[in-house]
Amino acid sequence: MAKQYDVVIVGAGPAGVMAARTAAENGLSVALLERKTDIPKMYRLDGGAIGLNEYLFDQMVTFNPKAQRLCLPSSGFSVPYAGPYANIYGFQLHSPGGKRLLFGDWEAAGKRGDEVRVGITLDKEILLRGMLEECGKVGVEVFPGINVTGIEKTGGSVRVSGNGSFFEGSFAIAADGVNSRIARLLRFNRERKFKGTQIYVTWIMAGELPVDPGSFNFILTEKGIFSIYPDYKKGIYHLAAFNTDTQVDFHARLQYFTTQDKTYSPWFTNAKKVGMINCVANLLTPIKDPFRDNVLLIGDAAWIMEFSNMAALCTGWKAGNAVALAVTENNLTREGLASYFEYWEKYFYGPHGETDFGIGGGELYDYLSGEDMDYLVGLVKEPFPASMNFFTFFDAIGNTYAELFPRIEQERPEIMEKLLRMRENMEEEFKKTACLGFPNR
Amino acid sequence: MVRIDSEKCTRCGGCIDLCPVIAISMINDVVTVDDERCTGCGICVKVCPMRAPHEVQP
Repeated sequence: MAKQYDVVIVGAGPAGVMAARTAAENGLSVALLERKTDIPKMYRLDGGAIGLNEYLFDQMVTFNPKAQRLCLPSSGFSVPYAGPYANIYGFQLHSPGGKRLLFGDWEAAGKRGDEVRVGITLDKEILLRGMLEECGKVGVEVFPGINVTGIEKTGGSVRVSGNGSFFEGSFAIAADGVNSRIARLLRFNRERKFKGTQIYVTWIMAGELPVDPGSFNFILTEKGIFSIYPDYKKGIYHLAAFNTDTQVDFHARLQYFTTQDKTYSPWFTNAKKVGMINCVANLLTPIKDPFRDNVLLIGDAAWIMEFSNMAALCTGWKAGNAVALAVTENNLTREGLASYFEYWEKYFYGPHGETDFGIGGGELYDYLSGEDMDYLVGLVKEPFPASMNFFTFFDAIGNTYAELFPRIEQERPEIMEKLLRMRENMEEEFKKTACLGFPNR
Repeated sequence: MVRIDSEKCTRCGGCIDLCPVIAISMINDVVTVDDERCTGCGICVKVCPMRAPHEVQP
């Protein structure tokens, strides 16, 4: 016999935990299911950061270290964070020969600190632990170690099963992440466009790296793109290789980058690998209508890729409130959740859901030599404004280079030709990327 | 049959998520293959960032 709840939530990441707390605060009975036994323990790679003081999806996060809370004044809620953190000042793009394209004023970053930060890196385990404590206070029933394998509508409610246990809710919320099993089981994925399977391999490096403190670095080389970003712990960096071709030997690439790359291997003289954390993300286009059979998909489960901790919190909060309204009004249908659909459309799907997320699409080095990339990166002298917003990041690069096309055409017509060929082949490359992956439909 | 080398596995869950027949699960935070369900398609072997899953003769 399944126990009956107002809402059963699958997945205890930031979206699921936020939805659970919000629904329970409103007096609902809530079951929160998670496949890990130690819920906050992070086995899977995560950005480990949160953007501050700027709009993303029209929402904003601020950090109040005195109250030890991350606040979302645009939405009207906050979550506890009583852990260590380090400031982030922006992105930097590095070319194979060592040229840089900067986002942010790095001189000001050193002098003005908190005032010019665009985000912080944090300990997500502590964030989740704090949020789970609040869930406990409002009566959320938490079930660790439940690997959900089934979901079905039974009469007026939804029945979720896993590890031989059954949980029944008037609603279910799927907050099970970018590779959402619920999205697959409910056949949402059949209607989504599959973009590719992205693999990230991260080496955790201990030591001192000659990167600007608080910088998120993307490094273009002739042997792939790498990223380096600082941990909240001083002297710890995450060095990642990523690709949509699962046959790539990521560890060999990282080995080459840290020991043989002409420009960048010297960076690692005083650093050593102390751990690894990885992830596999299946990228399917966002879901316009994330509701079926009384199941609401939130956070990454309804988006295409890692959607930011903030967006996860926002969709969780809104979903918790929407479900509370539906239960209070005794309107246990799609109409009962109208406030959520409006929110999803207004801030998430509407502005960005149909964005052509160009994922994979060939490697820069299939088209450009190291020297070509040095030339292109070296063209931009003025730093872009600092931001943690990826939409801003890609727009800034795209628009700036579009303006530079006449100059490139004149100075380096052969590079311009390569860029045009790259653009011509884009669709073809996107298709290739999708063929290399595993759609999970 | 597929076995997962627990020394190599970092428990990122990629194989669990991408297994088309839901044959892989996390039991007490250890990634385990259910031989009854596994069809031997090999997707887990291909997507693992650590190459932890491997085929073994039954």
